[in-house]
Amino acid sequence: MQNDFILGNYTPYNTFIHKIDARLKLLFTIILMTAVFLSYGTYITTLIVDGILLIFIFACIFISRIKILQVIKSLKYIWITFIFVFILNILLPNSSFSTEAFNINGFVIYWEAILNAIRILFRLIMMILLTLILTSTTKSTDLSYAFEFYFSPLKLFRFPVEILAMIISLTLRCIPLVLEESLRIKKAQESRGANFISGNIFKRIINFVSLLVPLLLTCLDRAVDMAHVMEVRGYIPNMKRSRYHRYYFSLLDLFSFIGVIAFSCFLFYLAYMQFDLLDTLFNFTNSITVLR
Amino acid sequence: MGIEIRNLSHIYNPKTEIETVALNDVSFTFKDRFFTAIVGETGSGKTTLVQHLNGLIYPDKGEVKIDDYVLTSNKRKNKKVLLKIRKEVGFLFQFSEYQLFESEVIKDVMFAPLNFKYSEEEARKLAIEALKKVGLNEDIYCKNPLDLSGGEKRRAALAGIIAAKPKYLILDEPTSGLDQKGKDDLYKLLLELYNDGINILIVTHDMDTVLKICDDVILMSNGSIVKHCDTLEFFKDKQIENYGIKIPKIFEFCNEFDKNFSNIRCLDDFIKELKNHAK
Repeated sequence: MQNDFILGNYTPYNTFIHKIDARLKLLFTIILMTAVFLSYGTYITTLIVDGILLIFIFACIFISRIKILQVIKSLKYIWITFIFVFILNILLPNSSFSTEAFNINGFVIYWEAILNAIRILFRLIMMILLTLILTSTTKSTDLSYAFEFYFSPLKLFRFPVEILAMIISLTLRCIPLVLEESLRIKKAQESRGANFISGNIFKRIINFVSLLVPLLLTCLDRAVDMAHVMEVRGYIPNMKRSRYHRYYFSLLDLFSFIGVIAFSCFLFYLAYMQFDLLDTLFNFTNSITVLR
Repeated sequence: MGIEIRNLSHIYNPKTEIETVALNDVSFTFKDRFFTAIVGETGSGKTTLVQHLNGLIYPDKGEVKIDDYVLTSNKRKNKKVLLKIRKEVGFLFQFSEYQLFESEVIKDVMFAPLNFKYSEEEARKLAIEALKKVGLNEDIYCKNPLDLSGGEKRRAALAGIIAAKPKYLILDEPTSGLDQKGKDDLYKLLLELYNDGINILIVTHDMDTVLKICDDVILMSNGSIVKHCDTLEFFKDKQIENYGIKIPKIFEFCNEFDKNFSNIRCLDDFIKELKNHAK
């Protein structure tokens, strides 16, 4: 049974981002996620940097040919989380807040709280998008190799790196299968009149049970089958194995590495210096006028 | 009245490198009473076609008309008639036992009638009727569906579909994973349902069964309908072998053996006919 493309699944395009080595893509994702979660001083500076990061991320999405409309549509499923995080951050008391935005019957909401909430939403969205770029442009086998590569120093401490990599690899491979299975069960229950999208919230929760229970059982069945199939084909956890593909860094990897590291260093520098970008910009234009 | 499909097209992942044309300008009409098989190679568009009939997929182009309800590419309009269509058209998936989720068999069978707005009392009545129809005994009504055997689970799943009293029943490879007895029981049950007035559309690769029980056959290839005709006429055409269809041995033998036997549909019929001739 064929289905439409599921967002986050690997799509076999031949773009520049697809071609970058999985180990580097994983490293870039971690570095950029760190940059997303840094504080850049004033609110305005932080928002400007976030804007730059968002443009960078959307450029990557565009290059890797992920459909932006589908990205936006997929985000609608986590709107509830977004709204919850937003409201929670607005309502959390903080003694450092001073600029009053609204006063509803003595209950004060501060501008700082609103800006903070917006910043956290930005962070969440960017984190999701970065992961999406990684999983959409990298094969699960390559990704598991990347994990194994970074965990390999732990071999010195007799940590079972290969087993961990195999677990990660199997988990990643199972995600599309689980999604496909969930679609199949969803269709089966929908054909029996179940409504997952609209109507009474309690009814919808009950309907979700009709999706989750069979899905869980199918997943357990599949896991047992998978274990048997691996054993039948001679898989022994601690045994040494050879590798079918050998991975080498290319010139493209070097250029992308230089580019991302330079961009990240710039962001880390901004975070370290805690600039007020507007103030700096203002002083800079002033000094130019004085020089003239 | 009936099912009418007009210029139906469906494309998966349009405008991407992985674009697949699943259905290409498909048109046909089902007569008032039908027991039809849809056959064809894997990936020929059979499942995509039948999923349109239950509103599980919407047409990209063209329309699907089920009695008075029409499905088009307009999602908003489709939503208004979806529940009515799903009540009219029951759909049994491949490995349908995986759709069972309730703690008791009877509760699971009641799931569809309750969704189609029957009262709890009516739903219970319909569920018991459906369970009896599929041959499940009263002592398993309160059992956990997971404790049933494979064949029983499949029958419970079918009861969960027919409990909503559909006018049309679509089955997507319903016998996969069943043993011969399970298959025979299921087909016997389908014939009973057909005689009760339910129209049946079955997607299958089992040509012996198609020959035995279906009135007519639709052959699909590359998202299009290649042939739609009476079952006996269908198997007389040797061209179907080019589409991966294997003509049942009994049919081939009877047609070569004697023209009087050309209407034989299964081994039992053949033996009966031979005995008659011997007499």
